[in-house]
Amino acid sequence: MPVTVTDYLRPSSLKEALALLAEDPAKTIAVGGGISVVLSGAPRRVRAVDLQHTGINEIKKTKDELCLGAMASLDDLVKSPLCGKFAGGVLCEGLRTAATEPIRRLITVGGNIVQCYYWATLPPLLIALDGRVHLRSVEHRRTVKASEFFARPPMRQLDRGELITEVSFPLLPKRVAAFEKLAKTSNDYALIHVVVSYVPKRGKVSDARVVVAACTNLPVRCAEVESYLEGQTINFAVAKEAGQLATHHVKLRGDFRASSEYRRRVLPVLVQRALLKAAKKQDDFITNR
Amino acid sequence: MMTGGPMQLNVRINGVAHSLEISPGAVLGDVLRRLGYTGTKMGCREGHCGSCMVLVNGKPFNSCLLLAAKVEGAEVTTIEGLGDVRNPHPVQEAFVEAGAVQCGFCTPGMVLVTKALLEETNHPSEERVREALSGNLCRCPGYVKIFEAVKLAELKLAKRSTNGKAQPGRPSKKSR
Repeated sequence: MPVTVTDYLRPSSLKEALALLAEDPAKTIAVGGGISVVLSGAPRRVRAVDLQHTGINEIKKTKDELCLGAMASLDDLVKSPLCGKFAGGVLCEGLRTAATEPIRRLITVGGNIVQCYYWATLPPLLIALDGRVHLRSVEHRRTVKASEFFARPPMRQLDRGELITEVSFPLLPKRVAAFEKLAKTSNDYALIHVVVSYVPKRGKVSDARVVVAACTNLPVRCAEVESYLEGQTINFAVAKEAGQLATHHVKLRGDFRASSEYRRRVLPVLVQRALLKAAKKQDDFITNR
Repeated sequence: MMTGGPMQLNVRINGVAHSLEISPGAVLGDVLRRLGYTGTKMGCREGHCGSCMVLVNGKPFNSCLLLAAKVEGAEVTTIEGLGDVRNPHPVQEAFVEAGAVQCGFCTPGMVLVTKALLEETNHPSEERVREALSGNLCRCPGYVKIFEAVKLAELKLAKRSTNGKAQPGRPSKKSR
């Protein structure tokens, strides 16, 4: 038996929405774009709280951060000049592949990270670009690092009545990043996501992030690869070795879309490509400076 | 999806104001079809095929995934809102003339997305056309003739705006 929506509530402010979520948290769900409500097979009777008019859809840049409201859609992000300029455009490049344009209009920032389907595009980008998740309930506010937030299923991270209101990325102008996705078509479900980022220091890698997703149940950072890359100059041999290391240290999932064996063969190639792409951006950055 | 007690929805469909009683969990596509707008085809019900595409405030949405409650106060355009056999919209004419229609099941979605695209930009690049139509699957003639139809529609709309031709009329009840 699928979800039964008993009431559909349209709060006009965040305060009102949080109060409604706190009233009966076990039987109340927050609705962003609504896709997971429509497609959910979980047999539940729920009150739906639509967040459309709660004012948390803003995309803004502060002195130190790029902030994305939880109700901004992935399509809003793809078309936002602020997002386009951030991290060399890797955010827009990645999110453009998340789904078709009409579906991107329905996927919200909050929904994409709280549902965190294994093929979701925003979670690995958030981890690789040092993002933070901002949560709020009637009683408190808290901020969690993306790498901690996705350490276990996000639904279990949320306290009762708690809501994701925003995610933010620090503005790190020197960080270069690259995104790779394997899927059967350009906007189909991902079979593998790879996002790499690092800060180039005198041509060498510093503070590397190598994040693998879609071939794992939750997005993961490859600590062994990151340690290996520290202080290295990216070239073909280094990128190839990093790819091999990633394959050996990540537990890969197998499902009806692709077997773990298949993913094991392809993952090193994508890590290699992502690193070489990032190195190219580093070179372009130096050339254009 | 099963739903609870009814709720009120105020929406304009093809320019006509409606005050409807809907189930809170109903999707827009089902609501439209119950009203007789059967040009909106419910295909996969998972957002893959795009045959259920409608325009909400001028932007394409998969009506199989869109909760009807979310279009409160919005303007919804279905294929019936574009034109009819006697007075077709230039995009509809282009699809017929380019031979971009075979079984016709995907066509309403394709036409609506094309209309939205050509309102966004009157001269889209081929890459932009492919991206805009990537959410609409056709399993009959393939996409070459559909892309040709988009190009033809572009020319027709440009010609119409040069000539200052009036918008096609509202669909007659007979054509539904």
